[in-house]
Amino acid sequence: MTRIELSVAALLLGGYALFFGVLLGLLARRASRVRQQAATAEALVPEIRDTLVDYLAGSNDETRIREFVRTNRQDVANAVLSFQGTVSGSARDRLCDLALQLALVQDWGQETRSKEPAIRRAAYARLAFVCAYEPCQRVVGDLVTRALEDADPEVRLPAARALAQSGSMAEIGRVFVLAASQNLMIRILLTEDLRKYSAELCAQAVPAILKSDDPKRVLAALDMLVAWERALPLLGLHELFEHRDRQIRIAALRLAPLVPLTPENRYAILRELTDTDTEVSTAAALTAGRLRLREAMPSLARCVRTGTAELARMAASAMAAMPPQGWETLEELAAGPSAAAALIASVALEKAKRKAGA
Amino acid sequence: MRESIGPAVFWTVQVLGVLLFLLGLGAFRVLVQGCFALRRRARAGSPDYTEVLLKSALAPAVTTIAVPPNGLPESRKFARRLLDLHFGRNEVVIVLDGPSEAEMEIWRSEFKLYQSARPVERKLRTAAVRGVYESRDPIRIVVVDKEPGGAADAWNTGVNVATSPVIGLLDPESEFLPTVLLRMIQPMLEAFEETVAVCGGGSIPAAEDLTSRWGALESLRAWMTRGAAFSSRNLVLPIPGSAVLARRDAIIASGGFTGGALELIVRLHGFALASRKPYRIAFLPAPVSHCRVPRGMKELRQMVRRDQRELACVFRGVEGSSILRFRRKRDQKQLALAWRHRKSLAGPFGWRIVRDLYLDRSVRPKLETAAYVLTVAGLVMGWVDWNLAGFVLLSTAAMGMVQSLGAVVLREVAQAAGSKPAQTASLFLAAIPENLGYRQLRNLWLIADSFGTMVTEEQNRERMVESPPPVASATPTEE
Repeated sequence: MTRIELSVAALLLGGYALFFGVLLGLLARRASRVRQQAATAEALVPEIRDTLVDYLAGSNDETRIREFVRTNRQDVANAVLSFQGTVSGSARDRLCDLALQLALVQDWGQETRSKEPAIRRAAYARLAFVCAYEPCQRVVGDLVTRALEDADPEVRLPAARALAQSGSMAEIGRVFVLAASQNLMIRILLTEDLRKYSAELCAQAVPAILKSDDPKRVLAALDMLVAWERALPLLGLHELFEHRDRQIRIAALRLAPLVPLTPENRYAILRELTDTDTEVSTAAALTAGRLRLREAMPSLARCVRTGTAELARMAASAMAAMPPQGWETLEELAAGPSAAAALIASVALEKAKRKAGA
Repeated sequence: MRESIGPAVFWTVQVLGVLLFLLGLGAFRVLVQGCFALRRRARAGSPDYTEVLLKSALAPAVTTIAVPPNGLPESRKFARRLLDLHFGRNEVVIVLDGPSEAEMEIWRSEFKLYQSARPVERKLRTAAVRGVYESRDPIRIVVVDKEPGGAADAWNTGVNVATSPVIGLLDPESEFLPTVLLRMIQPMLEAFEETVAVCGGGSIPAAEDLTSRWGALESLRAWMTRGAAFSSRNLVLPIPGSAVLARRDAIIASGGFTGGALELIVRLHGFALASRKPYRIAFLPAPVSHCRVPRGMKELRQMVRRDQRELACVFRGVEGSSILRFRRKRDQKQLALAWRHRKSLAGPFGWRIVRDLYLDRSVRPKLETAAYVLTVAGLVMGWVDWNLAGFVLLSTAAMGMVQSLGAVVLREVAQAAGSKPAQTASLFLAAIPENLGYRQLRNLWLIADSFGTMVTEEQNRERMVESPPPVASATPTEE
């Protein structure tokens, strides 16, 4: 019996070892082939890029480019895409036109039907780049727009980015709505792309989504607006200060310094300073400090005296941002009977004075 | 009686041989699973958005916590390395567990610290905080001076002090890229609600000498099993040298740290499984962080010891729940006592989470060593024939070789761009001497380290605080 076990084990393990040996040989061959291809591409890509640069500079000689396309089609496609972000205007149109002439755009259109997710995603990313050029758009059709509904988020992303680059205002609004319902990664990427349309989006798309019944989307939209870090012509924010969802109230307070300070907003911020939810009142203290709301001083002083440590610290920082009245109040608090409030007030005051060089 | 010893040894060795062979096959199956998981991942691709993430205000802030054992230059250098990480909003929290005044002074002068009024939340129960310090320099560092309470207590204090929603844990014994946080946060952002943690890193790169190659093989096997293979079952565990990002709210909800990063992740798994909500602990198989290359046997020994001791703590924590069920049948009084003082890491889910690891790192070395001893004794006494001895050797050393060879080859199969052929070949060949001498020595190390503790003397200056409540008591469980 032992002999049988030994034979079976030896056979099995020997077989495995042999299999791995052969596999290793094959993999080594594959690796060296890939390495060789990479080395060839590495040598060739600068040449392709130089030729493309010449073409973009006005040269009409396409002979070399066509030769490259015949021998290294993939490398040419990659080289065309490598200009993304570095060319714009007529140079970009010329490059896209070249991609169209060389039938690269049609290739990418075909590749969007691939079963390999990586190939599909790459194809959409490439189409997204060339779609800024109107003749390419005609060839691609509504492929990119339809991709906004794709099941793969990595496909939806390039499609949305393409529309954010070259779409109409209505399409850009659609991208904003899409961004608010996607995962955080996609939202971050689209927020950057949509930043330049912040003012236009505040006219229609943003108010529409802020009126949505879905608190998750409202919150996502508010976060995007805050992340733009731009002054926004957005009215009606005060309605969100009374939202039932505390996260939305907090996000609205964070956005408040970026929108026009209407009397409604001002009143709402002052009211939120007395909110029983400390996270809300902390956000209100931060906003009051950023907006230098002097009428918030009594509430802020009360927050330092009676609030939680974090709220007191934030309120003290807000007062420190409003000299001389804020500094005077902090000095009074620092000399007050409450040891905790005194420490917080003195640290905030010291920090502010150091910052001001006083 | 004497006549029956011979057959008993023969059959014991026979059974051990078969068991070891089956265990080896099981471990090999896990490696193949890892290969498939890596292959799927490579085919799906993982775009690098680090540049956008670096600038984005939407990316969640990260607090990187470190618990240096002392004020030595290496500890301060590690703190500087954490401050140099590329991330939009990265705050470094250094927790000093009962430092002396001299140690505190070193930290104060190193980072120009002043006492801050920053509040410390008491979400996790810890020893008292003596003071919180921030830097006068424009760097986001917070140094916490606390009463001694042990390493886990210090980690929990770090979580209490942190204000970011995500906590970063980096191993001081690892090499990590400055972009590690930017790369690690990506899987978390793809599903922020469900992802409670991300473990990321690569295996040790192979170097020139044989010991470092053995270290590389050890790390590669761990990477393919605990990382890649376990990710396909959503049971990822960190490997030595890997970086970990975890959601602060998840850490707090699960009761906080009871040991190192490995225990934390096991606890997070247990808590998430107990709460019966969809969750994910993601794996990032990118070379963002890896264990230092061991130079010489001494460093290799240290590397194995650290890992095994951490695993031993996990196994002990997990065993708690199994032993409990065993005892239930015998002594109700003892059971009640054990129940009150239970410190089960992952409630009734511990065995599910660490089963494969337990078999590989706790059961196998013991069985293998026993098999060797019995085989040699049996050969000397004539109780065991050469065929059986050969079978034992095949079940142990040859099976080990196949596993190591398999790990090297399967990694190459999974990777779209292969490694350097010379490097692969050197690792492939290192698998042979690894199993003819080193493996047997390593078994003894693993057995010895199974009984060790993870906490170092410096980190446990005076006393330990009580462990956080167990997962099983926080949520409805089967027990």
